[in-house]
Amino acid sequence: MKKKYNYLILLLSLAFLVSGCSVPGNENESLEAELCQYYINDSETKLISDRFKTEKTQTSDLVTAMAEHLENQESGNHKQRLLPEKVSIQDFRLENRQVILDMSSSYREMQKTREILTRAGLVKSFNQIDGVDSVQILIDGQPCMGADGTPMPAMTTEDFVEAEGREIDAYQYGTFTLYFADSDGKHLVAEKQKVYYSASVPKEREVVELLLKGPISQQLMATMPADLKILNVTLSDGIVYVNLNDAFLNGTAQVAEKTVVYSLVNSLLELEGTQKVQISINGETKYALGDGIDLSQYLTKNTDLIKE
Amino acid sequence: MYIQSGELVIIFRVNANEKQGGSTSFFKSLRFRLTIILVVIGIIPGMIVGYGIVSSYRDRAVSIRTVNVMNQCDILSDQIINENYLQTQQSVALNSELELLSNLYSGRVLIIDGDFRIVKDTFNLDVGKTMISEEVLLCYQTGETGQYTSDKYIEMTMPIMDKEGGKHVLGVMMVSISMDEINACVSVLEQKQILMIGIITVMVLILGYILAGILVKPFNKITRAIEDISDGYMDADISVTDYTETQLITNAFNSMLEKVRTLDESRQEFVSNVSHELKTPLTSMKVLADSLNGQENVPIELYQEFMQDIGQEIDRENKIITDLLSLVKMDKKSADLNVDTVNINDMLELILKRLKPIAAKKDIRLLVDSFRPVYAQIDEVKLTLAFSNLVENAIKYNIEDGWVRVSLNADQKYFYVVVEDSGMGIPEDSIDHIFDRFYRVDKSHSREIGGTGLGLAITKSAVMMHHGAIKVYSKEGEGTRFSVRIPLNYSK
Repeated sequence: MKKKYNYLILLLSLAFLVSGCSVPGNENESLEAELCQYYINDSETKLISDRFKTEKTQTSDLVTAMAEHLENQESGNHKQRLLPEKVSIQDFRLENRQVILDMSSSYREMQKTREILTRAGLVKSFNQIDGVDSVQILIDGQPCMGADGTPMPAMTTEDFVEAEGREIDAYQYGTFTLYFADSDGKHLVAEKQKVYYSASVPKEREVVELLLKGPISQQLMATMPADLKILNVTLSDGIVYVNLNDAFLNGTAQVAEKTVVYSLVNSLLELEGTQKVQISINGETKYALGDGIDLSQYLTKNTDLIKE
Repeated sequence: MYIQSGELVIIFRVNANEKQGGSTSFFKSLRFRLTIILVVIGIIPGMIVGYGIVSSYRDRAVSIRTVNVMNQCDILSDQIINENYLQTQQSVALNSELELLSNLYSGRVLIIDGDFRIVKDTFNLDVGKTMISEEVLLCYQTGETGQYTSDKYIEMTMPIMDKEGGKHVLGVMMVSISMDEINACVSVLEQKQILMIGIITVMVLILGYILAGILVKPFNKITRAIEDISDGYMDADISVTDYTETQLITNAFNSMLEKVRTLDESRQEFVSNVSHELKTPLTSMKVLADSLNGQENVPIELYQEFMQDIGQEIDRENKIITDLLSLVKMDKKSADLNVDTVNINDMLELILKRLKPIAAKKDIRLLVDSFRPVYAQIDEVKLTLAFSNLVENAIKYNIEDGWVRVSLNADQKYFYVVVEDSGMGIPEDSIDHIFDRFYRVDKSHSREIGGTGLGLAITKSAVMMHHGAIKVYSKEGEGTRFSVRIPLNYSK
């Protein structure tokens, strides 16, 4: 019996020690930032990412840290530095949430494939930092020129695509009936759109995204405000719950409020298995819009506004 | 419970035998094994063929698709250059052709310009973005078509080149096709294959079991035939001629049966011989006794003479019975051999010493040739008996003033004893039978010569028990020579 008691005590104390270990560990990790730095493979056909930790937290400090890392990268072990030998970041600054990189003139001498990878690497490296929205590349103080002669705009990570060829299964094809405003801004006209969209996006969400993109036809007008952000779209038990940001309240120029609301409602109710729509602004439904539209109530299809 | 007829007994016995087989020995049976083999032979090729067809279909489908797409893209690529599509994507013809291509193959076409910008996307999702996928960059660098396949997608990258003006890579056309269609086809084929295999398996199992049963029937025939014989119908031979193998088995069985029959016959003969031999002294005794009883006033001398005769007959009967007993004992297969290391020279000397008086009666010289001392592992009693018989015969069937020579020799493995005599010899037609029980060459003189007719049978039996050999050479009127060879070391 004594032996059993000893074992029990040993186990319990071990358990305490182990649990104790994890708590300070967590705290440590939250103070550190983990960033990816990019290398290029030997045949110069793809980027290789490598994680590193830094204790800096301020955006400007992180930008500096990244620039330093890029300068100090070493080639070897089947990967090369992102920046070739003669190319270096002469100067960099953070302005209005944009990082501007001034590259040395030998940047122009890079081969096309090498240059595009370097460019992508630079953009991705800095865009991942919290507080950096875009990256602008200059060469020797001058803006970088594209092949068509126009200066290259600031870029983000989203501007670069890589896996499109391999992820063919990630897309699905659908036909949607969307209601946009006609030229008088009062009536709704149906437009069928056949689109490819990401397979992970549910239909109800895609409807709202398409409405945001606007009509194909030149005769129709977009009904959603341009700065609208879709927070959440969920279909449950026949009811579509749409959560938008407050840009929705400001409405759209040249389009009546009723038309705006029902372009959304009618389009959503074109989907199978939908009966009602509930719109919320930032999670709240206690809003009343013009023309007696009460957001706390479920909204159903309005056929009066539809122009055939 | 009364057994009403012999038939009932046999039927019951056969049934009991079958029940004894039971379920466990089914898995050891030939029938089961044949069934398994047939099933395996029937199914495995089917599975291999099915699998081969399905996988070659998949490869074929993939390669056809890729070849077609590449051909189309080749044509489109020229058009793209001619119509300056990389700069402006206005060409209605090209747009609809690209749309058609992507619809036809349920794929996605991306046209990428020299700055790696996506100028056309049939999915309308990524226009304007910069493409940095490894496959595209590789195509741009090498100017070669690339093809990448996995079980989810087929991806092709084709360079858009100005073929006349210096083979400069102006852009890349990337086509990505989902394998869903092909995979769906393949899984339909696979389902069909599984269904077919299932049907074949069931059919083969049933047919295999039946066929195996049919193939195995002749063996059951053999079993039944042998059982019939064990029941007592020994006269007929068995014959199951269905297979060469069964025929061989039945032939071997028949020859064994023949041996059993001859053994049975010889046993009956032996029994009748024995009764005859045993009866003879008794008959003599009866005759003597009856004649004594039948007469009146028989003188005492006559009584004495007849009683002596009766005594002799009793001795004779005794000897026959003793010999019979020792023969029967030796008949039991190598039972109770009392093996010990014995000095053969001494044994032979003892035998000759004992027989000297009988030899002296006929003035026969006994000679011993002993080349070396011999020690062997033998049963002393039995071999003494054996050699005594040989020497006794040599003396009995000898002439007056004759000689008997016993010689002993040995090598690494065996020792050899040769008993020669100058006697009357054995006629040629009798030589093969002298070792038979109760065989007398000259039946008419058997009484005078004495003995039981079992001596050589006993000798041969004893020699055989030691895994030895005995040979005889004889010339009528000149003499006889018996050669015996016995292994030095006894091994079971």
